[in-house]
Amino acid sequence: MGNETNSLAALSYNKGSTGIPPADDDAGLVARSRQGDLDAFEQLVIKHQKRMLNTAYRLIGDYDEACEVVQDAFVSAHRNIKTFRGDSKFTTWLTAITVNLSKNRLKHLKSRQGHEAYSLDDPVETKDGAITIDPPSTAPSVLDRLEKCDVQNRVQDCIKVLDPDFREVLVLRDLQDLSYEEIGDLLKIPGGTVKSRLFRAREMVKDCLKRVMGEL
Amino acid sequence: MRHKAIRHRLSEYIDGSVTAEEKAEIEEHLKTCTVCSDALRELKKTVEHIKTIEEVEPPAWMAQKTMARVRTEAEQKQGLFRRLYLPLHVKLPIQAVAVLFLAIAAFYIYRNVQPTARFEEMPTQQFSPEEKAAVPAPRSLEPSPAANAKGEPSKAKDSSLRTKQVPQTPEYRALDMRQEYESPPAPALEGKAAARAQAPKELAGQPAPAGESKLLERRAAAPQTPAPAMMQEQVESAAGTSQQEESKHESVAPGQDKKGLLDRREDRGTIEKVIIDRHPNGSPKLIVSYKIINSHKVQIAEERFDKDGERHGIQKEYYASGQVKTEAQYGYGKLDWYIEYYPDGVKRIGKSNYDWFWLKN
Repeated sequence: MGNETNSLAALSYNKGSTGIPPADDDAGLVARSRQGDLDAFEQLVIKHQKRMLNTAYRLIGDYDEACEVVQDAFVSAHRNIKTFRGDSKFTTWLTAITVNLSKNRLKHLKSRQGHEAYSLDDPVETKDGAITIDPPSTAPSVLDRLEKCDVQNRVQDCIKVLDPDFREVLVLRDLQDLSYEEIGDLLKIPGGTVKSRLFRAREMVKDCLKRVMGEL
Repeated sequence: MRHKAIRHRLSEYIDGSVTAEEKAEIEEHLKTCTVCSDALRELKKTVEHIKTIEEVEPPAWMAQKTMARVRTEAEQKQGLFRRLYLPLHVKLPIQAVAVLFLAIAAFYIYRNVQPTARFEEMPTQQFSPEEKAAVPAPRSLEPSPAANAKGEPSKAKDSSLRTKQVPQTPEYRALDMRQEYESPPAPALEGKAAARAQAPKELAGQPAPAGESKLLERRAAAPQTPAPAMMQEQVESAAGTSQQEESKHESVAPGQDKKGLLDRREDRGTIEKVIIDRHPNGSPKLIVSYKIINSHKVQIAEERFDKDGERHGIQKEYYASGQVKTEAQYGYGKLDWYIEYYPDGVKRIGKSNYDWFWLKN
């Protein structure tokens, strides 16, 4: 049964590969937005913000940073909406913007972490002598963690440790349900690369889950 | 397909992204290969786990904040647009002034920067006695006071400079134009020549204009040298016409546009020759040719001959452009050649080392 569903998915993928642009539900709103209708663009924001937030969140792994990225993505989309020619779906175009901004944010965060002037564990000098910093943790308490220590968190942790190149393919395919072709267009990589990266990403998550969960 | 290849295609197999043939081959392999079967099961389970991840909800303020940023940017963009293109009642006058300024600037640049023109090759023929006789005789030696009054300050300045550079020696006199067209001196006319020396003052009949050039003053004293007959004839005719010329010159109001004088010149484009200096045997030593190009461009060339009439060289000077010092006078830096025009069509040519030569129109 599952195979049949997958076959249908493959059929739709193959249809998409004929070069006929898929019908876009957002065409009307996009057209109005191109003419400067901010209300139409607001509807697009409301409609797609959740999807974009989840994409950004799965890629970055930080909710607040993901919110910032999504806002930037919509502002950028509005700024460049006149260059959107409608060759692809609006959501695909918007996702591409979000993915690119998320990657940039990740790089920025990594470089910022790499240039930390001091460690949080380093003692600091005060009037009363050197003391160790012990800032309050924002992480959930032990009880909360025990409660939430379910499969989802473990899967999320396993996705987090993936290399960004593999993570983005996995997120776009298994969480955003984009086709191979859409992922290739979006990330500007060939279809073969999409397939191989997806295979390796799934294998790595599988191994990770087996390690943390025992058996699948 | 081999086991390893099939193993790598399992991910695509789950997604249904394999062809029917590949699918059949993989399924055939899965029946016999427990490793691949286990791998497929685990892979399917992994994908299921991944898909179970719940989506996070955006914060309530996100759409509002996003739109606030979008609106701010749109307003800024519109403001910039307005600043560039609106309002018309401000933009149009500014543009009009700018266009006018550019037009005026372009006009003056065009007037002052002329393209370099080539000087035409000078004819190298020898001057026969007939040609010498055909040299145009000067109409007048002395410009009328009214004519001198034109362009007074700059002319006086240039003339005084020229006088300063002229060596006051007998050789210098040989260069004076009055030697050019003169036949041997006629003693009977010496009286007239003496009268000619007084003529400018008498003709003026009124106080001489302030700033009159030293050159002209020197010319007034010139009769100390023997005045040739031809010269005296010229002087006679000049005396007869000087009153008329004076009245003509006076007819030009001080503020009148003298450009008209230049524009109505008819000798534009033709090469004219002037014998500037002669050898003691009478043959031309230095001939100057000039060509009027336009109202602020004159080309001048010098030709030097030996006493046998053999041309020894031509010093071509291409004066393709020059600054108009007064409306009717041209000065060219290197050799300081000048051509002056007067309302009645009389013009004269001059250079630092020589006197002025009146040219027949």
